[in-house]
Amino acid sequence: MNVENTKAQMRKGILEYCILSVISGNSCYASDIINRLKEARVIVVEGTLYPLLTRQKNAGLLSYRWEESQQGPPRKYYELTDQGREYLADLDKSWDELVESIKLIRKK
Amino acid sequence: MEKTIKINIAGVVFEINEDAFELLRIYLQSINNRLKNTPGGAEMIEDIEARIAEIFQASPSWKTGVISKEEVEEMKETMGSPDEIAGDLEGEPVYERASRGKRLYRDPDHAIIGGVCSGLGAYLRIDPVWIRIIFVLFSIVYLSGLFVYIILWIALPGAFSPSRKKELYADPPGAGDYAHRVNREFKTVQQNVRRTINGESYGKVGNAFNEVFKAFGKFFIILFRVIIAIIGVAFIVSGFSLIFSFMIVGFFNGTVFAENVLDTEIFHLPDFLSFIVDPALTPWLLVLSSIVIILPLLGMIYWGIRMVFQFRARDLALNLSMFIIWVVSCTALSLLLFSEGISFANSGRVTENNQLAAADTLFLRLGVPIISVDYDSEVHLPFEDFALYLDKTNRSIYGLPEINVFSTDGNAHLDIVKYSNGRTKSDAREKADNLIYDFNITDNSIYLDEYFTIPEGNRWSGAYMRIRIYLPEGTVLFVEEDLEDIFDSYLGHGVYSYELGNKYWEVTEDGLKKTD
Repeated sequence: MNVENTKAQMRKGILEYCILSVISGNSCYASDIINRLKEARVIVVEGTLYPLLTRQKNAGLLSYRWEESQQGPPRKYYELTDQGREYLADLDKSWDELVESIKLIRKK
Repeated sequence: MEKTIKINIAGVVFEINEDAFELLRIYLQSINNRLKNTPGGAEMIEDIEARIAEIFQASPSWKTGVISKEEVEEMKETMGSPDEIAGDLEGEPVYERASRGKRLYRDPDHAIIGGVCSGLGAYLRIDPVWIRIIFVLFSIVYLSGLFVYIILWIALPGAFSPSRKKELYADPPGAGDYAHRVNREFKTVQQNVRRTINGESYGKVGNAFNEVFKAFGKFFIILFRVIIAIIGVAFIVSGFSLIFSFMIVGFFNGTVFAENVLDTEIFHLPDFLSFIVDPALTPWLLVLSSIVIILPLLGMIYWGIRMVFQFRARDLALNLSMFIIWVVSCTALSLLLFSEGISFANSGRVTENNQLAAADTLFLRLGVPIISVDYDSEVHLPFEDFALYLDKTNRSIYGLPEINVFSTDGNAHLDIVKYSNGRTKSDAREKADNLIYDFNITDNSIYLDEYFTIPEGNRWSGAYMRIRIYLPEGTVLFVEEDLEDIFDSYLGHGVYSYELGNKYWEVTEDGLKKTD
């Protein structure tokens, strides 16, 4: 057992939830998401984000539209779909439950 | 001035140092390799490239000109290694390929020669030293271990890439693994069925049935693999034992480590061959027949190992070339044997007639027994009921004749009928005539040698001999016990050769009859 490994696993577990939460605020593009996640210190390297975004999009939780940018390539702006919103609500609930559970256990 | 290259990333044009470009190219290539086969992989790669373009645009050198190696390194740190990027995709049920589990490879990292033993050790989770000892032991015995090693060296791919190393060292091996997997499959099915019954939004009922069938399918695949592995073990064991028995009996005169395990010199192929074919051809025949016999056995061992470990192998060229070598050897061997076989094509017979003095009672006695001859080996020919005795020093061959007794209306006589094969009829007759048989006739006794001789320097070509004794009806015959063995086995009137010895017999029209 290695504490770094466990921490990484925990972070990985909530990363999808974090991404959906960030996008739920208002539509944003990859760099915005990355900055928010970096701020919150749940992401270490940016590369891991893209496979997750693509997977969530393919699962119907996200959609995106293209927007031109003044400098550089056009950007993908992500939004939650209705299904994504439902999914997020479900996760919100289970997160609250988890926090409660941990609280209970730590209080003993 | 350093060379720069213009590149286009996600529609933005950059100028980049040559060595920085090389670094970037390798990085993108390995990301591409990791992602391209996953669903949505192309899109992921596109997004990642767009982000890389952004990162470069944000760096200080944007506008001023050229992207340096340091900037590429920095970008790589921000984005993460290809392993980190794709790491999240592994272990997902969708990506069956990533969870292929355990596989056998050569292990070049811990290799002494080719990494075959270290690979097997890593796969089986035992110290490769034991595998090495086994290979060395099998190599001492007729080099078979060495051959198997070379075959595996060629056929087994090396674990050069990290993913292969992972497969090689993956756990857990063996039957326990299979049982574990079967168990897991059934648990998933149980859960899914329960979910469906409870009306949870997992999927339709059809889904659950699909899962059940899938699980049974997997169960049978695993069962099939176990059976294949067991057959593989049988292949390996029988392959090795057949090679050993062939070598022991045919080539090494029953010797293993210079120790004669069979305790007799039954059949020594090299010696025997030199007695029946042109001695100059013997080495060729030996090499060819070894290839013809041993190559399929080595193949059997190899395929046994393949069935046990079920590894990926690049062995098409190997199998093909071995097969071609085998076919060529078979053809060459049959051509050689055919050209030699021509000298067996015709058979000939020579009869030597000897008059016997009329006598009321005739004694048949043993002349020189075969045991008094100093022969080196005894060869029992397949499908023939007689043996040949080979004498290496004199290069002579001895065989046993067959005696029979017949009644005659005329005078008593003894016929020596000599048979041989040859290239032509007259050649066969000449060879038959050359056969030597010694006997001695006195007043009332015949002394018969137990053997005939194919003279020195002649090869064996199907020679044999019959001794036919013709006696008037009513003659009484005494047979010495030592002669029983070379008599024809059935002599009429229910009399068999084993009961002849040291008794008096009357010659009748249809065989020998016991007197009182």
